[in-house]
Amino acid sequence: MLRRASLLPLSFAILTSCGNAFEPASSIQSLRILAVRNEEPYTPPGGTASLSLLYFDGSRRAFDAQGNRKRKPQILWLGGCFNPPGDLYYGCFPILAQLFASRGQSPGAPPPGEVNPLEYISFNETFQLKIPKDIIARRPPEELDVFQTQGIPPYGLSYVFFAVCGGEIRPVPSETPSGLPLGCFDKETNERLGEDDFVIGYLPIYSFEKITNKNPVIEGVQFEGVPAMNRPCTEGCAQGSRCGSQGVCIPVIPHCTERKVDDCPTYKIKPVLMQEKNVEKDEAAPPFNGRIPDEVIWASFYASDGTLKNDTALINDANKGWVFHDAEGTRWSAPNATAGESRVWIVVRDNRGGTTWTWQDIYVE
Amino acid sequence: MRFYSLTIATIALVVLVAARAEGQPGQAGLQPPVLQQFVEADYPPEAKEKKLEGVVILQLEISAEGKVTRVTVVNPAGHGFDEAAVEAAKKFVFQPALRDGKPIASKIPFKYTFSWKPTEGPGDKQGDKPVEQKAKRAILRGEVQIGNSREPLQGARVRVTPTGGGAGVELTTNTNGTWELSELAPGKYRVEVEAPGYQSLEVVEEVETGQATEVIYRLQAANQGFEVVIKGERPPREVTKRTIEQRELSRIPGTNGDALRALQNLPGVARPPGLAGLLIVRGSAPQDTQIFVGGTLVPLVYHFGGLSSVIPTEMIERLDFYPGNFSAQYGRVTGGIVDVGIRSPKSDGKYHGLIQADFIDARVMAEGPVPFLKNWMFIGGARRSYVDVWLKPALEAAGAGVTTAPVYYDYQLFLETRPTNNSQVRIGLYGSDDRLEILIKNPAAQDPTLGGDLGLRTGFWRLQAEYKHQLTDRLRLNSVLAYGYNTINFNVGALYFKLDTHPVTNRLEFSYKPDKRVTLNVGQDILYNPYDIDLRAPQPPRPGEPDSGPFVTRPPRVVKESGSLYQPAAFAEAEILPTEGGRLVPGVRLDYNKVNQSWDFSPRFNARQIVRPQFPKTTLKGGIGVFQQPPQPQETNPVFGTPGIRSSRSIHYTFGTEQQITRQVDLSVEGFYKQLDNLVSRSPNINGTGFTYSNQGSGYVVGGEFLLRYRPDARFFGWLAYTLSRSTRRARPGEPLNLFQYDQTHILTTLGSYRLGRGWEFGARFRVVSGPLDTPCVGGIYSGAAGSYACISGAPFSERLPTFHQLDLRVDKRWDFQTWKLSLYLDILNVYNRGNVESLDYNYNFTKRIYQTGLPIIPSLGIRGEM
Repeated sequence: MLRRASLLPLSFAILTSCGNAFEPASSIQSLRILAVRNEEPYTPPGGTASLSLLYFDGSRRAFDAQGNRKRKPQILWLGGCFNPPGDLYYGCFPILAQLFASRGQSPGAPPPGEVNPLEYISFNETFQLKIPKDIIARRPPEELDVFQTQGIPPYGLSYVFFAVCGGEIRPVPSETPSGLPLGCFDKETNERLGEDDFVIGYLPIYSFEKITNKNPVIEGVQFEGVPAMNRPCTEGCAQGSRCGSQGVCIPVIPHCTERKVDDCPTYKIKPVLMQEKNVEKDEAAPPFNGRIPDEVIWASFYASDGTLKNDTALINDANKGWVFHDAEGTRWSAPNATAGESRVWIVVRDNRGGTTWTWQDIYVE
Repeated sequence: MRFYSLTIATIALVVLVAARAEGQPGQAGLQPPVLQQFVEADYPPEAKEKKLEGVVILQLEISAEGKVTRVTVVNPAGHGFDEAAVEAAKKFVFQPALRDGKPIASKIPFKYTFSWKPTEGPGDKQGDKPVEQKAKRAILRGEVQIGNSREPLQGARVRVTPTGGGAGVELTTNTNGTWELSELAPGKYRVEVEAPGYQSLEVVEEVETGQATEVIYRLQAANQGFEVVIKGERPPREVTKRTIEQRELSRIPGTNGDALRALQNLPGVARPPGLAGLLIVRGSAPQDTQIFVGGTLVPLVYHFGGLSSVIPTEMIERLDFYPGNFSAQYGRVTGGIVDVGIRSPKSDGKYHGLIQADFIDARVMAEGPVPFLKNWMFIGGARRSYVDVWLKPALEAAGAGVTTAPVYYDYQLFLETRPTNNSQVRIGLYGSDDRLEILIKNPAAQDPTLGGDLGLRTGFWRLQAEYKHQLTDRLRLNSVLAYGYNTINFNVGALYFKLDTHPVTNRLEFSYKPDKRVTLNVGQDILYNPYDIDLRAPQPPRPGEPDSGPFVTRPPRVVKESGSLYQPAAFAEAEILPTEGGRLVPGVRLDYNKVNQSWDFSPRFNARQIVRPQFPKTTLKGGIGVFQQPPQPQETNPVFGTPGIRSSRSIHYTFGTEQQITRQVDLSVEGFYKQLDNLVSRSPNINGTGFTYSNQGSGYVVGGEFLLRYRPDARFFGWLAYTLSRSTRRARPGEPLNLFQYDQTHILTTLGSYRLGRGWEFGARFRVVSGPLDTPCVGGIYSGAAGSYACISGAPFSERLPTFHQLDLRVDKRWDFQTWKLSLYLDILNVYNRGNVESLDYNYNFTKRIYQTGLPIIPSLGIRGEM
């Protein structure tokens, strides 16, 4: 029996989780992975998971004195971990350390486009993982019995790890049981780079025999309540906008002249999503109060410059349903200096591995 | 002609007009005069002839020497009663009133009751005159002492009543614990002795003509009246016993007068983290301590965040707290036991009430006779919080949609009667409910699935019947039967946990006393708990395990089942008094657990010896015993745990001494050691989901407890409590021994309260406690499914956060009116606004961190009326 006392601190933690003394997660000041997308979130047994990354290198090391970008991050993908002990990501580490070490102590950056002989390692921008046909059957019979007891369909679980490094990725001794034994080193100085220049992540991929999931669909973005970035520059940009680097018209706003960020004018940015295209039932979940719950959908916001009011916004709740009708998404305020083209990323996820993203560029005068 | 013998009627020493030390803070240090020599008034001839009775209210002026200098009739009765009462009262001798120990003159009201009673005797025919009868009268004098210590007990009320009928005389013992009635008619008298905090005593004494009968009564400190047993097993099975009076419980700063929160100031009890209302006893986890109300197991004792407890202080008769080595009548846990005893309703035939309100909640209480039910009394109360009034707007301002703002309430109703002189029946219904429901529209970036619809409800109720019966002089029966309902309902986003149980409990005990030095206790302790569980949640990491990532990335487990827990137990215990002041308590307990079909046998032994009975008294005590705790339900659940795992085991060793330093000051020192083995630990399955649980864990807790206490007197009470301890756990053989999550090396609490006079009382509490342990995050790993980071954990509980220290103050002001009392109090928590560190807070990728501090300065103003 869970004791109430253990639930209370959790509740209060949730209630008080907004706002602290740190730079918000939405402010990109370093090399950051913003999202990883699987084209087929519930990849079936025998299917192929096609993965891609959304990342941005905002580290000060990424630029030279003139502000020009001077490096291209290295990407590493590691697959090959299926049904780890306890379904825990760190249960994969012994397998992956062995796998990675097989490439040598200093793999270096392979030529672009190279496919590693070991199919579970790649240095490309994207990665494809073949899910074993028997991934569900590989589970011990007693585990499958448990699934049957619970009334949920059995599943297989694959983990894919990825790393983005502002230098070169090398294996290092693991310092903790839940840390991956990889390090990132400056190619020229051999200096080991820290968290601002090196990100490691993982993605769980669930495989069911019959249940599938689609990635969320973003129709567009509204800037201050009107559709934005939908007019090619070739058609000419309206007043208050200009042609952006992506070849579409983007809004132009002045930089903030207030001393306090809170006093800066804010601009409403909201992704356009259609309920009927996005909401699916969480079929892997048994009914609760006689109803199969919806999947949970939420949006995360990130900004290259300026400040966002909200890091996240709930779109669809498991029990309450669609709550995004009247929501404003987020509010963004411009930086207090001329920044040129700034970007706000919007990543929409569901709680079954679905991910999609878009962005809004704004020119700050 | 029939002779009307005179019986002295009720003499009630009501209250000192100027002041009374007890109950009037405004006159602290003032002790009332004590009647030492009572003189029986002559029954007025006119009244005697007409068989009249009367009550005369007098005002007595008493000199600093204790003599009655003036008698004024305040409320006359006529028929000669007034003159007779005045004449007799002039001959009274008092121990004078004292102010700060010095005798002073005083005035008191005095009720003199004349009751007519016909007697058969020589006087009937011979027409003896009262003066002649006086010559035949007897003296009854005595001394009241404290238990086996033989220390004098001042202020005990002695009521002497003729067994044949008629009103009695009531006296109060003086500083030497003595009292005397010098003008008694020969015959048998019922003597009742009462003192707050002691078991009352009732005996029949026979006095003979012209002789002085001397008696000594020893009152055992017990769980009666307004004194509350806070620590130690209830007599006579205790290893340790300490008492705290009601006045202390309701005046400890920082507790808002809540008795159960006062528990957290005792040695051996750790400071609970932040807003958690937990009881952490001698280095054990909170779930290792059970809480009972009147012998019935309840799932919780505090409302949200430990703001207040679910039973009001004024309804508590006693609070038994066993930090270890508890009696064989308790089991199924390896930590401690708290048993809250509900007091009987007042039996004076009047109705009483209480209303109290502060910023957090308001409550009412009433007691008195049950209308239309003869010999039935009731006590009932209810409380509701209004946190929702101010928290709802705050939450909405923070962007949350509030469906049900946080609210709690509790209620209690007990009916009681005595079918016979030797039996008692009590029926009670009580419960508690806490709930909130909000919609979080901007979930936390760290774990976005913990957003959306958030609901929490915890509640319980119990319907219980208690039956106590002294079957014979040697055989006693105590039984408690209860049926109830517990619910925990928690949901956030797509995750939920709903558990409903309907526990049936029965505790039955027979106590047989074959010899004055031996008592045998045997009984049963049954728990039958049908449950319905509906859960969809990931398996949370156990304390010390690495963070397994945001909830969204973890596979949820689903449980929807109904079942039952059945845990019957039998126990037997002997209380042996082999020597003067010595006590041996061997016992055994046998538990059965249906879930894993296992038997647990737990032998226990406690001993106590008063090595120096006279002042300053010295007592040695000790105990050793086996305590076993069945695995938690989720640990044996086929989905979440491993069926078949056994109970955890702990062997408790305790040795200590109690030393009187002055009449007011005691020192208690105890050392304890708890050996822990068969603890439940888990490891991930080699291939697949879930974990395998096993009984491979072990550990120990060792420590010392010191309590220097100034017992309450007219002005002051206070204590200094210090606990030094170390609590460790090892997950599996061969793995390192780590400090346990709830380990707190140093716990120092000092508190006191002083009555300033004129109804003012001022109290302070200061605590210094080792900081909580934390498992630091040494980095973060990006979770692609959640878009946030998971903590990469360092060594479990390897970082001690900064030391906690806090000062709390309390000021009370009370006004006494003729039929009711009004009180105001201001309780200020964290007076100097110390930012005590409760946990670590990290940035989004766990590369930076700051201290998360606890509650700031919080003043709480309350008002209370009693009648």
